[in-house]
Amino acid sequence: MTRLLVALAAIIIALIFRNEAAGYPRVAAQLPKLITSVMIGLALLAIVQQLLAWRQVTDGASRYALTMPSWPRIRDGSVFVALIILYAWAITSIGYLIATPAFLLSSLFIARATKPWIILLTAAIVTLAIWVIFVNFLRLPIPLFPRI
Amino acid sequence: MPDSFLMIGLINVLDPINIAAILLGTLIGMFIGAMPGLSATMAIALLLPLTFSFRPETGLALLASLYLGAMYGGSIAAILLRTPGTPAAAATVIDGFPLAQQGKAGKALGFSLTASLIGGLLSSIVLLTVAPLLGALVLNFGPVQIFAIAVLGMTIIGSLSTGSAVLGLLAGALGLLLGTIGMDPTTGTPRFTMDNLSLFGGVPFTVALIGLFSVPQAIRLIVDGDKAKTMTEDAPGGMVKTVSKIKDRMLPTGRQFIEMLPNSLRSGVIGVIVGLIPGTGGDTASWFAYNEAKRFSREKEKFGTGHTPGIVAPEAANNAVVGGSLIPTIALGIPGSSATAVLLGGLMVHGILPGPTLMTDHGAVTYTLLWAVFFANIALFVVGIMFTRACISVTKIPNRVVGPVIIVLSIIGAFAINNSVFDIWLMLGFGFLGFLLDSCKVPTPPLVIGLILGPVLDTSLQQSLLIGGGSWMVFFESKISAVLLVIAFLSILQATPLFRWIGIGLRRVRSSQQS
Repeated sequence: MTRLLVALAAIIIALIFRNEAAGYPRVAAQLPKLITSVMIGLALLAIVQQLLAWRQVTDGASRYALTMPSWPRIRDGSVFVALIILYAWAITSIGYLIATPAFLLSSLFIARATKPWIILLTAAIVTLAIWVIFVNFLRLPIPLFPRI
Repeated sequence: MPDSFLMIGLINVLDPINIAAILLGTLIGMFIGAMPGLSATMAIALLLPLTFSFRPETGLALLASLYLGAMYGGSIAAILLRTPGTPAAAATVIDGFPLAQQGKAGKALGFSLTASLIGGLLSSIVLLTVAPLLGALVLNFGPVQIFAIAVLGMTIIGSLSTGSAVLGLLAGALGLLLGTIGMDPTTGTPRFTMDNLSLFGGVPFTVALIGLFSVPQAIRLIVDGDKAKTMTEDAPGGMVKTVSKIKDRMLPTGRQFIEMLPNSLRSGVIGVIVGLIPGTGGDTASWFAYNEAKRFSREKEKFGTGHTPGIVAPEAANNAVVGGSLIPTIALGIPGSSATAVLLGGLMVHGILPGPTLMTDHGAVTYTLLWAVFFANIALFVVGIMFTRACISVTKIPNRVVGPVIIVLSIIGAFAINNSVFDIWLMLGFGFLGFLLDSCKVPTPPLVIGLILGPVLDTSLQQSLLIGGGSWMVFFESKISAVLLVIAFLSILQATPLFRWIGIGLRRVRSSQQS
């Protein structure tokens, strides 16, 4: 089932790019058109392969089954992804020195990664080490504090 | 000219700063490789932004030695925890872990380290001799042949990648498509940029690969945790405790060294050959070498019980892959694996574009990289002897602590490339795409290699069509490109059921004739 979804997504992406390329000069559109044709061909091949594989499966119930991860895995993964997005936004708005320890502390505490004092120590050491290397040594102009 | 570059490269690599970079790279690589779940590719991608401020040769020496260090580091977790630190160390588990269980963890790691040295040195000698020869040959190639080489590299990588070959090819095609984002090289037309100025120069390759190799890994570390690290199930006799101390001697004796030499050399040759084939990597080489060692052995029954040749073979092979996979990367500009693709990204951030001119226009830097691989093998042996015991503490770091740290490094690294906030979001976009692809069992290495080869294909296609007056037959007028394109077509066909159907048909015909 996953293969079928991937193939369908690939066809949609290829069609979007192909449609966009239609407005370009002939030379500029040449390679994108070639690649999208190949993509559509491969996606159709993947669909055919999936259909052939289904023909060999006799059990009707398992034929179209979509393997889903367990609920705790989905929950942990979603919370972590949300924290990553929040951190990416926060680092440019409230600055590295607040956003980084906040992200590390929240993600490590939520994941119950280790003992609380080790979490505190990890957040402090990582924030400081990256600040020393990237800001102090490499002179990276990352915002350190909230924008006024 | 290549001889003088060879000398310049040797002189460059012996610069104290470069030697320090090699020692540091092997040390960091060994520690990262020892952490189960962290790959050599991710280590190189994360440390790539650090090398911006270095001279190109110093940065590349650091990255190449990190790659080698991670290859050996993977065996530490494999031997002590029964969890391979990198996929390339999976075969080492079979004999490494039982030997460690017998109280000989030091011996297992010492044999692994020595085999890595032999395999690595062999491959770097091949790299130093074959890459310049191939590079000189490729200099005669024009855009028509370069287009054919890029197409062949792409199709082989796609069709040989793990999982479904069709999905591998599809991932490669998606990478090529994303590689066309930006200004068209001939007309200057912005393509698929959504009027975003940050995309006019194309997708920043380094940003994309930091996302593709780091973010999915970090999410997996958080989701999966580290249950497998403390106790290992499905071992004979139920749960088996992992090893947390090295009590015995690490270095093999002179006699043991001589005994392991033929196996190491044979496995090293296997590693070099496997590394040469784009799309295959350390994992393929180590399983191949393990099977060959078993086949050549007079004591086949001892394999799987802590037999040292079972450690030597995969370790010599997976370190030899490094030199082998660098040959097409450097000579042709086509990366043989995702790790060499990231190394190529290291060249690109220093303004050195992949392609046949790597050995001439940027000869000094390229030859320094070749020598760095040679010296990194020696450095790895020294660093390994000194710090392997310290690596055990790294294997105890909980995975859930490592995941968020990877994210911080990825976000800072992505910003560091162009000092651009847009790159942070682009990196995360590629990261989530990589996670989605991984979850759907679509291999990501072909996508990365497609991203590199996209612009190469674009330029060479347009130049070739100009040469051929707009006719696609130009690719079949040159014998070299015609042969390469036919092989590429065959490699696509082998990903389809066509060959299987032909085989079944032939068998049916044969059986009907016999009956």
